[in-house]
Amino acid sequence: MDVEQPGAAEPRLIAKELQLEVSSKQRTLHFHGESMRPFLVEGDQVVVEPVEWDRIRLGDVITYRYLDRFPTRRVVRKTDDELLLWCDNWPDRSFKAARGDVLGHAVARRRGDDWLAAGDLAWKLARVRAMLRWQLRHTRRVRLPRTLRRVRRAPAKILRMVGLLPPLREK
Amino acid sequence: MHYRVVDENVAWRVADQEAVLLHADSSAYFGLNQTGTLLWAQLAERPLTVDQLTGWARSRFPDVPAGVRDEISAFVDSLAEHDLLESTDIEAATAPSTAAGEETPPWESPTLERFGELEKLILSGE
Repeated sequence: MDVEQPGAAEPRLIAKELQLEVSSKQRTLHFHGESMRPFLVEGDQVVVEPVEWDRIRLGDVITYRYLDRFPTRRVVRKTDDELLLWCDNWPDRSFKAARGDVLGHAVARRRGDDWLAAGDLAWKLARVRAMLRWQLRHTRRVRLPRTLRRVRRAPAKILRMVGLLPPLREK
Repeated sequence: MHYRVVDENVAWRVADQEAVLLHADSSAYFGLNQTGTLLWAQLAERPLTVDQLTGWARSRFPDVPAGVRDEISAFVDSLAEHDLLESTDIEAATAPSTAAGEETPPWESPTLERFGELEKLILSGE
């Protein structure tokens, strides 16, 4: 569903988007909420840089415009013109961002006095961990139950084939 | 005296032919009218003097008033007062473009409006 972006041309909203463009270690942005815990927690300071569409990778944490807010979530799937996004701490929900609404990607985080940058090992591990969790969650739902059902029914099926169990009654 | 946009402190974007400027350090944000936006775009390309800007305006707008230099001078002063422009010794290597072929809006006195200051930007997870 297309979401109208009312007031997109309002000076205040434009200025807010410009704040994203000039964010840096000296001009950090404030993260609010628990949805990206443990990677981002309430009060973390974040640096967001503009990013070209072609350079967005799965596992990136991106910021996009949604009405007058700036959600910041992890990319789990990418098409030509849309991103599917996931919050590390909200495994049951997913979100979409249109190509034109993406404003940038997180490149650094400050928690207390500690900085973590996108090139750091801990950042990369968090990306891998989050993507694995997403894959496991969405793979298991589709495939494992069917496999498990087949495995569970296999002994009875074999016993029926060799005549040690009566055939299933037709309903 | 030449003036240049303080690139390291100013981000800007044009919407509906009018620019919104953000001063990154103070988080103050401003609006320019259409004429102001065209003058700002010239300044963003290269350092210019008030006289150069006036010459450019005269070549671009057929209906500039006699006191156009004073209007532009006041506009530049207000930009410098808000730390959006600064004087520089560096001169432009090229003259301002005459923008031939572009649609010319009617002249209006260039204005800078200070809208206010933004609070720290919040990235919402929710």
